[in-house]
Amino acid sequence: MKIDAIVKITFAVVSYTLIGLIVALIGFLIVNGLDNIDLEFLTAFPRNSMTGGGIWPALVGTVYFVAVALLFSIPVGILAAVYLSEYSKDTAFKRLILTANNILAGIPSVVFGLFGLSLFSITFGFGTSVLAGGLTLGIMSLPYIISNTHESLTAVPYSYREASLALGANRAETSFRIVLPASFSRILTGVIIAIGRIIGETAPVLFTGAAFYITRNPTGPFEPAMALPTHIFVLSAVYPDNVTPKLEGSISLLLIIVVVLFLLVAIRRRKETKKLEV
Amino acid sequence: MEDTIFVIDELNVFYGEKHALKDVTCEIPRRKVTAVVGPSGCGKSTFLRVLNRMNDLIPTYRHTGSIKLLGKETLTMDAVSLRKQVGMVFQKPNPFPKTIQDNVTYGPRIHGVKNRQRLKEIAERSLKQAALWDEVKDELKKNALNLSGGQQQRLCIARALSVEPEVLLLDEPTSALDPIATQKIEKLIEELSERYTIIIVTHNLQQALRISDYLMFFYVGELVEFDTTEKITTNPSDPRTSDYLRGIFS
Repeated sequence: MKIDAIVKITFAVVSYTLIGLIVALIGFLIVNGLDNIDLEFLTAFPRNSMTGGGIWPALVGTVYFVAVALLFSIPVGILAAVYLSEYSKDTAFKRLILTANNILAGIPSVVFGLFGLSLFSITFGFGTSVLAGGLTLGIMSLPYIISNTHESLTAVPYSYREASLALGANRAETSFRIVLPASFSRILTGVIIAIGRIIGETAPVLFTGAAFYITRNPTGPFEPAMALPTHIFVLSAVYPDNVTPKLEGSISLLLIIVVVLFLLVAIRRRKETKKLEV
Repeated sequence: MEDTIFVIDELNVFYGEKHALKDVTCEIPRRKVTAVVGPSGCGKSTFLRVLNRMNDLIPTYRHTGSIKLLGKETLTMDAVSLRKQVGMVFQKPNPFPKTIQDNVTYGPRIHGVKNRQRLKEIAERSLKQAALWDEVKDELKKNALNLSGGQQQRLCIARALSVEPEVLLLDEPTSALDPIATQKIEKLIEELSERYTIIIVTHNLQQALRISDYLMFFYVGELVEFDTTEKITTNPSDPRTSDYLRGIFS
């Protein structure tokens, strides 16, 4: 009895300390930079060696990078997951692929950055561009989208597939008209998590697509763009000794975006659990 | 039997090493209710699932012999077109997580019906045939998962009827339902047997006796007896059948 109480208190103290630290850290960074976020900050180009003005091009660039990444990783990832879950037989090879995919998800982002530099920027000749950076982020988010989609598809009851096949549907019709729609909500949640992960990635875009400083937004996929995380990196590298208000604002904004994305995920997850309980 | 739908000849089914059905030979009458009964593991569900080739999905499954549907060999034909003619309703109601309307138009749509008016008509006809129309006609756009268990099962029957099959296979369709819902389904089966051949697997012998014209008794993979329900219940010819019947009744 006594030992139970001690263990319970110890665990509680450890977990609440940890949660408290995280909340305090994120809260501090967000609140600290909040004063620097105003309309000009969001809509103006940087001025005076990035000590003035705003971060408009970094916001636009981030949207471009993420859009290219998703355009690549959503279709490829979903098709790969449909193949793994609906078509391939349960063999040792399939399990090997799934394991490899999970390992891929754990590879440091700087490695993806160098991979993208070598493949997209140099071999394919995309140079430092929205396309090269977006594809690098896309490759990086691919294993996550595959494993999440695969899990979502596997969670669809077998009886739906049976009912569809018994009506004379073939496997493709069953996969795309019954199984995928039935897991759509979970797949979408996975995509939001993937966005949350790649939106703050610095190294992949730093090597492949990020501009240090631009005076106009990119007009095509072969031009470089600024991105929020690389902007933060550049600001802290240029002014290592004193934190500029623009840096604080950028960090705060990036954190707000990520926190909002993950809150969205939490809300969706809650709804899904409720739906399952009915 | 003057009007026959299935002619089954020397059918053997294996799951890996397991011999699940042994030399089954019989003729199943058209537009009648045939109930398949027997103790657990006797092969009755396997038998049902051979008829629309749902077992093809199991990797270790093998079969020999022949099953002809209205004269055409089913074991070698395209499984997709076979399943269009031989519909199936499962043990647990399994409507798609879509609207009621989408549930009963999915089948016709994958078979190429595009006209909206036509799809509406099919939906109405199928739901009426499944005795569900009056209960759902004002909420066709609602999610099918909001229906009660019994309504869901009738929706599954409507869904199977939407592609106008010849045969309806029912795999213990009432085992997950309460007595009133069960009663409704039994009444429905009787009505449907005027237009469709119905083959029903059931654990509930009383139910089999109530609704069936013919009775098939399986025992450890063997078709022991197949005759009119009346003949089997009054005068079974195999001692194993009478044991089974007595065991249930006593």
